[in-house]
Amino acid sequence: MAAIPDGIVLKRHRDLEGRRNHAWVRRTLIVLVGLVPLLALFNLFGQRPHLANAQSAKADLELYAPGHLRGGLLWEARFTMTAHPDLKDARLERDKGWLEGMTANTIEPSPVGEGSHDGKLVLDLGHVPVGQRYILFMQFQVNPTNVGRRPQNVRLYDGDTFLTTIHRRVTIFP
Amino acid sequence: MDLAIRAVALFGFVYLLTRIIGRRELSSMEPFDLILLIVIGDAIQQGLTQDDYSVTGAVIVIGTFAVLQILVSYLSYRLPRLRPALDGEPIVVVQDGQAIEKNMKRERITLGEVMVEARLQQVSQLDDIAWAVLETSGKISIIPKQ
Repeated sequence: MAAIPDGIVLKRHRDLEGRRNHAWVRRTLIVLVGLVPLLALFNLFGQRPHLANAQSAKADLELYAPGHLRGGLLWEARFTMTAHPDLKDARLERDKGWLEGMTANTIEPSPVGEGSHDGKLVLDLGHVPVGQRYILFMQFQVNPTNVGRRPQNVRLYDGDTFLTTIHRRVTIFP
Repeated sequence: MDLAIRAVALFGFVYLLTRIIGRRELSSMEPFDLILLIVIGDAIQQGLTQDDYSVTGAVIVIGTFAVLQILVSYLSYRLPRLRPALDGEPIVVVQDGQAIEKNMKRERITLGEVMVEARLQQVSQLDDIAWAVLETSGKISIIPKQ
């Protein structure tokens, strides 16, 4: 047998003693790394939107927006309000999680007015005639430093009268 | 702070990838591998600095990478028990002209690849190889019989 090269220990480097489980550790890590894109296909990391809705005798509220986002993403929320009787002064109240660490690029159509109610953001949408739908588009971008879970509840009012609410939270991945 | 944390996370992920992908895959640089490397670099850069175009940001990221690289190198030097995990270990794939199949299978190396390396080192026959060792760099060292 040729002389064993310096630095080579046959038991360790040829017979792989003490290294038998290394291959399995490596395979397990490969599976874990491969699991990330697989989970992404199932929308675990965003940004596919989903539908949430809430009904009341006076109005229906529907929200189509992603619940999982990532830093830097552009995304859209679509609010649809359907009035059963006339809504004389529809108001949409949103938790501050809607704008905390987000850049609001667009609100269309522009609300009649904006305000704050007990730390929440209020959009005054004005009159919504009976049977009609009011669709509000909002487009955002997630600020890169915005990470974590934030409440994004939405409440619909007619003037000061509470009508209905959608409870939701958004998860933002780094 | 955010930049430094992201740099640490991505350094860890890239380090892990290079340890688990397999050394042969990393040492061979075919045209496709080169393109893939550029694409990976671009994807990492976007996740790392995002909309930060500042010199300060670049200094933070590069500084973090430099410190981590030195830290890994220092740990590997000072703590021999960590060395196999950080750097890997060589594997003997041919001894006395005999291919060690289980080791080659483990590292996904074919006899053809060993012989390519052998020819590059002026060894034309498997029988003439005393030792072929897959090094931690992914290169195969060929030691011919005397």
